[in-house]
Amino acid sequence: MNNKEFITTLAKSLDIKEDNAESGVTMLVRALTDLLSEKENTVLKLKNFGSFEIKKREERFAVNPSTKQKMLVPPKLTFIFHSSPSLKTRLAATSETKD
Amino acid sequence: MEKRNFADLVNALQAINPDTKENVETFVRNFFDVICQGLQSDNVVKIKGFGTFKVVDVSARKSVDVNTGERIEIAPHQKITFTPDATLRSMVNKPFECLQSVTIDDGVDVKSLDLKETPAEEKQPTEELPKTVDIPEQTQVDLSDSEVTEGSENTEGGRVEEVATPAPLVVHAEPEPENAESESHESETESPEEEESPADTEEPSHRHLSKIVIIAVWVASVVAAFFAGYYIAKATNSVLPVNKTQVEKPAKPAAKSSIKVQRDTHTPKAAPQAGNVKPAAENPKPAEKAKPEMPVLRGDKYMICGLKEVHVLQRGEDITHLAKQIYGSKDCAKYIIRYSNIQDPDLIHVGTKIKLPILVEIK
Repeated sequence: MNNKEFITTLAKSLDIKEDNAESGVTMLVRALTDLLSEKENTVLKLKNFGSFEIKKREERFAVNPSTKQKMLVPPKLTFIFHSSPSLKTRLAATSETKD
Repeated sequence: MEKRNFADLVNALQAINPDTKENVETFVRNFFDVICQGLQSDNVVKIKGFGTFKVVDVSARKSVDVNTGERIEIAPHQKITFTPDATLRSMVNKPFECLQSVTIDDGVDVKSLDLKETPAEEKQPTEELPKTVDIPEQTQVDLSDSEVTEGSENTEGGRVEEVATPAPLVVHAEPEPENAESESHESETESPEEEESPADTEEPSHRHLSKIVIIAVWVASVVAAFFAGYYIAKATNSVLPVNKTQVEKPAKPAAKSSIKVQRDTHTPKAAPQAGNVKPAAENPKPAEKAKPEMPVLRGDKYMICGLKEVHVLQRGEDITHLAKQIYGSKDCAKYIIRYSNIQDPDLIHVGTKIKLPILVEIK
């Protein structure tokens, strides 16, 4: 399901215009990141879906495998999602019913 | 660790997009439901500005039961992955966005660096994370623990560029457009300056290393030159007076030259002069057959043909001064040094016995 399809489906289910749906998605994403960025080590847990968090990756040494050049990779913040087991079962259940 | 739930997300969204709580809640709920639907139907859901959810098959693998320790096979199953979009990644990494990967030159001891950061330092970047439309803040990540000790110039930055300013936000819906524009403009003017200074801080670290290399090479060359000079001096002085086989100049000119040498002297010491002339004149034959006591080196104008006198060095006396006094030429100092086996003419002290050679001019 690509972005277009997703927006279409979302707009349909909400009975709103696709433009509104798209802007709504953008705002939701922003709200999500704001929520996680407020404080360190915040985890957003959504029932039957999964958890979102922002983790810090420490500075580390890396070696370019082809040139063998040593690099120093700076620290960075990454966005992490962990799916919940209930989501998997939910998908499995519905796929079973489909079959 | 802070926990947030669905309600918190709804509140956060409501803050950005003012609407009835009901509408906002419905929107969020539908959002995630549609994702589920998409995963069910297509196994992939791509959302622009967010990321891609994928259902991935995991093959069976062998493992060990945690409790019993028996070998166990984990059955093949599925897992759901999420890969953030580039937009999301940059949004999340905003506090660290100015940091770049840096190549390390050879010769740096990688293991000696301590990369662990203290909790106090870690808190800094996240505390100052900007909200939607904020005044551009300067977050300084203190990585001083992790620096190479050589980078003394860059006490603030080290190799990794550190001053991070939030770039102008890519904001689709701006509730406060006026403030955003003015502040983004500010940060834009700041960021080119910041870009230059990180670039500058990078270069000195390279210059610094090359400087050290240059200094090391220079020191090595100075030391080598010192030793070279030492050994050359040693070589010239180490030739024994016994060695007569090397050079044999014609004896006849020797006789004339010996007289000439005496005449050339302009010393006030007339008596020793006269004394010297006599024995020289009296012994023309030996003088004619004079063989140099020490080998004659290239560029020598005189031969050393025996001991003339032993002179005890007085306070304030200099070998060059002596040479001028006795032979009439400062250049004869080298013969004195050579004949007396003086290692370092600058280091002779008062009372040193200096052998003054008989110098015979070479024609």
